[in-house]
Amino acid sequence: MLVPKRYRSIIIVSVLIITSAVILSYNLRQPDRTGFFRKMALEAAAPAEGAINAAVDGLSDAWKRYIFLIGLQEENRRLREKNDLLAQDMIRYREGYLEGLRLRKLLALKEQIRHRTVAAHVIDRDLGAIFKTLLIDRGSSQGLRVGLPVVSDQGLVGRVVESSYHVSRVLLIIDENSNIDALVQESRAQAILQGAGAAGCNLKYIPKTETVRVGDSVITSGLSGVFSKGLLIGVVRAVNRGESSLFQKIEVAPAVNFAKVEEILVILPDGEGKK
Amino acid sequence: MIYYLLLPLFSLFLIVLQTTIPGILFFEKINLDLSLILVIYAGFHLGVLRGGILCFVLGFMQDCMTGTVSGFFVLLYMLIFTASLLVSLRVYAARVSFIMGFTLICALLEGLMIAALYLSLYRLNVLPEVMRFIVPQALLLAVLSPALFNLLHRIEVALFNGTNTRPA
Repeated sequence: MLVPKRYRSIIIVSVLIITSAVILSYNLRQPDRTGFFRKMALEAAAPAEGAINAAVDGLSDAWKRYIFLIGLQEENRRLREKNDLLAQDMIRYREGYLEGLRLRKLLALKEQIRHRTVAAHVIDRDLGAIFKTLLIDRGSSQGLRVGLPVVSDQGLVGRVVESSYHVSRVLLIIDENSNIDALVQESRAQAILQGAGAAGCNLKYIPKTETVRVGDSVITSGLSGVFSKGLLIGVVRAVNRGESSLFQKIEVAPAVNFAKVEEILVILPDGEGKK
Repeated sequence: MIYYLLLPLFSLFLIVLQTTIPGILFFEKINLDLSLILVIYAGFHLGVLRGGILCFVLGFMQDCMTGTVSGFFVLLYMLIFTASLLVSLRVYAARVSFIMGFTLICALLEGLMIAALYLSLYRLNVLPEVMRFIVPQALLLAVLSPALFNLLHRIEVALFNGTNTRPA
């Protein structure tokens, strides 16, 4: 080499800088002219850029879709929350509407009953236990006391067996401890209606001579003085005359669906109110 | 020799790539001058001839792709390369903080020089506009520079089989 090694670096750098300055100076004087190497670079850049763009377009789309999906996910989450809130509102409104319908029926029943009544909400029910009872949100402060009959818009529910100031327990007619004086509406046959648990109720002490058919209505007879006469209890579901017994075995399906009853009326005695 | 033959293609590929990828990632808001980091790396780690030629070709490709007058980026990159070369001779240039700081300064200087060129050639003051792009780009490049230096070092080792490319 003609150039000493220690100066080689300086010379290379100097040459390159001077060359670039010359190129710049030359091109500044001829700004409209595109040089050969520049043309070549541009020619080469076009397909390279096309190839890279083609490859990158897919990536770009995926990236934009990803960004879009993130936004969409956020919007989706927001809409879901809004939807949940609206669904809750709708449930509340629907509950209100259904409660209104039930209360309207209860009001109609209240107008039919010629006694003072107290409306109450069912706050708990105990249908699976030995004792079939309901808990209602009215008590002695509203005039309730043990023994008062309880009805719903569907029919007789039972009677109050326990009462505190603001809560009372109602023994359902299907409870085995429940015995009510009843009457088969069509045949006018008198009987005792005893609760039979999940099976409903049984009509007892109806002689074989009485004609009772499936589908006959069973109502309160009003004899015991606890329940006023004419309250619907249920309908005869099955009649078994038997051979050995003196009485028929009659099953009664209660008119009230105890699993679903929500509002009830407690009938107060005549002496304690109007009418 | 293969290095010098492939250099134009590699430079072209890099310049095209650096104009395409950041556009997608940052929605055309930030430009990422990866070639600047390569120039600084060349000044720090490559030999004078290899690094000088690389910067020359990179600058030329940058001129072609950005549409600036030919020779502008060539000169700019050569100056940055020379500065990096001189700094690396006197300073231990492997520290992360130093790499980041030097990259930040070079990126800002690049912006200032672009503004100066426009002012001198076209009598246009583009400094505010240039700084609006350059400052975020400089910060981003500074943050990325250690990782990119690492990547470039791995590529260099792979290409040159671990031999030191800088003459003693």
